[in-house]
Amino acid sequence: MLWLCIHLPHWPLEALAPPDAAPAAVIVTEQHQRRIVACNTAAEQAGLKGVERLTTALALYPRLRVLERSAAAERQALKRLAAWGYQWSSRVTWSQAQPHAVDYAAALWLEIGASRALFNGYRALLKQIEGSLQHLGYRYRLGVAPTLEGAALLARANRRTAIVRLDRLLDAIRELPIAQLAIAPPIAHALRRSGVETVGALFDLPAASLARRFGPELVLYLDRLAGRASDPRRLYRPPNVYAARCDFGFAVRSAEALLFPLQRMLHEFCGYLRALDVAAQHCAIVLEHERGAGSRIELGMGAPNRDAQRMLALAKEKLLRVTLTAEVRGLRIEAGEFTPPAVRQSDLFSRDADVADELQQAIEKIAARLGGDAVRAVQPGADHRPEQAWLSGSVVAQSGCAAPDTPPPAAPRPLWLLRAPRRLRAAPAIAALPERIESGWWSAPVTRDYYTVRIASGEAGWIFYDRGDGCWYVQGYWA
Amino acid sequence: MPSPHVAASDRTALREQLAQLCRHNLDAAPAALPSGWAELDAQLPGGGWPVGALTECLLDAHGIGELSLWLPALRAVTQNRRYAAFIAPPFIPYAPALRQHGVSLERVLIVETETDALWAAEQTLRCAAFGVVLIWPGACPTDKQLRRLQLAAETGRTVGAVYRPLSAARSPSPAALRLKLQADAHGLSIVVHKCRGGRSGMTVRCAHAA
Repeated sequence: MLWLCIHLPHWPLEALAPPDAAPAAVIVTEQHQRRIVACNTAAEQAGLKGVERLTTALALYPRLRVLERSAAAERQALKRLAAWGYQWSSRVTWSQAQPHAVDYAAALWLEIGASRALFNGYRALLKQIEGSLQHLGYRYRLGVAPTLEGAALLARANRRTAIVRLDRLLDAIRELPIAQLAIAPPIAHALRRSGVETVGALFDLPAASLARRFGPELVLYLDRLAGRASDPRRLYRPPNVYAARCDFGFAVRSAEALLFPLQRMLHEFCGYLRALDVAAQHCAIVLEHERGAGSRIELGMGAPNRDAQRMLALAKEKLLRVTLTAEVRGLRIEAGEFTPPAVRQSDLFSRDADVADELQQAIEKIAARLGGDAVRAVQPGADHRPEQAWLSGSVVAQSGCAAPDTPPPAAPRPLWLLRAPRRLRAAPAIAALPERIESGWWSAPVTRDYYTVRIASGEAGWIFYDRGDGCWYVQGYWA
Repeated sequence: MPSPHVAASDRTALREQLAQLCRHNLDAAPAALPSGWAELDAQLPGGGWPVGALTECLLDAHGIGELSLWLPALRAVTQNRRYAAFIAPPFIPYAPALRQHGVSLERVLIVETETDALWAAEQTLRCAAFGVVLIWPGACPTDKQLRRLQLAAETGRTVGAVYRPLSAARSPSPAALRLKLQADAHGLSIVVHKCRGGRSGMTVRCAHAA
């Protein structure tokens, strides 16, 4: 087994997805003291890096956005990330910070030993995972080792060397300070006081005396770290129906501010789709408010899709047209129906496929903004009445219905048809024989004589005399 | 003046410069989509509608042959696996008539909009799947909006036709080609109002297709 640990040092903050531009920090309240456990880059740049006490931070930067730590939001975000990670490994597990922990970081593990053959070696695999991770915008550290705790230790210590063999692991971690180990702070303190500074020195001590002095948990942890004891974890199982949520620790009042968390969530959603090797043609984005059911935005795509950028472009068109009636407190993505992905032909027709793909995207984008009915295709219809002799259908809803094989009318037809025939006040001068059209006895019977005349300023109109009401109408133009 | 004893590195630099100049000349010959009207093609640089650019059709009446003018191009494009779009047309492009003229209807799209015609036009022009995009912009587009369309057409290498009233001829436009369309006794009379890379002021007559 080879585990990749994605260590997420700023998880309490990133799970709440505050915008990057303004300094923000997450606090926990311990013994009536409010302590900062994570802050964003903007806050670090404002000089708050390493500041623990909230009062100090506020004195340094009064406009700091302060968010309360939410374990629920962290769990939701980890679940989304686990779904995303499932595309590279069927063994995915995570750990979340416990209350009163020293370190509020979270971690996600992917077993990559079984997947590395599939992805051309683990270096290529790591590159791919890291590329996708950067799209999500989390700050992370990676560690690769044969044990879960070993990978986590290397990630925490920011050692970017992958340890593939178990017998090399101990050598690699000997020099690390014991502060990097996931052990309770009082134990680490006591060890340091007795002169044990490095991981190597700790491993040199006899296990029995360590267990007697510090309890059996420490020895079990060290055994798991070194691969001497098994380390069973609950593995992530992807659900059949996707429902991901992101709770903000604050209220969002503009649709633009939703785009950043939405982009991240769509990337995670597409990771889930790739993991199950499916695509979605429809999903819903729900904006959650303080109370009520939330505003639902339906995202319909022309073809099964799992491209996050494309979904985001569509969502953007819709989202920026929504007027937010109430503050948004969270986002949800829901999708329940999946289809096999549209497999693209690679070389032979790749240009055609690209163009078709581009067309699909353009249509989706227009339909997202103007509505599905706005983009229409036309067909001749099987009827002799001119207004019934054509059909129009929404391109988006259309699912491959073939044009009926209608014989074209024998007489020429004008290029422009009026949406409804317009009545003429006076009878025009006629100098040709009419085309008689009689039809529609089953619904709206018409008996009309059609002529072509010049109406005014050279316009050639297609007019008819309705034998039913005795009036003249113009129905089209020869354009 | 380059001396005859040029260093080898200078020589390669010169050669590259020369190659660039030649390429530039190749680019200068505009790509064109034959309009199908021999008289008109003869007047247009490249022998047809400018590809990757806007063409303005200036006219004051509907039904004087403004669609027939584009029919050969629509036919060529749709039969050649590309798409044609009508953006916010004032009437219904009549399917039986389009088919009578050999246009492949499955490659014709119509976008119905009253407010977002220019935006929809930009999206379609930018998409390389489209060959010809006919646009009825509704309100009078500004110079900046037309520039955006022009840029979109360049990106997608599409042919864009914008229908505007004759009065727009007085204001400048980034369109590569501007034609004034008027009906006369025999059909359509076209005055070349502006033609990038060609001469303007000529009059061409196209007999009615119908």
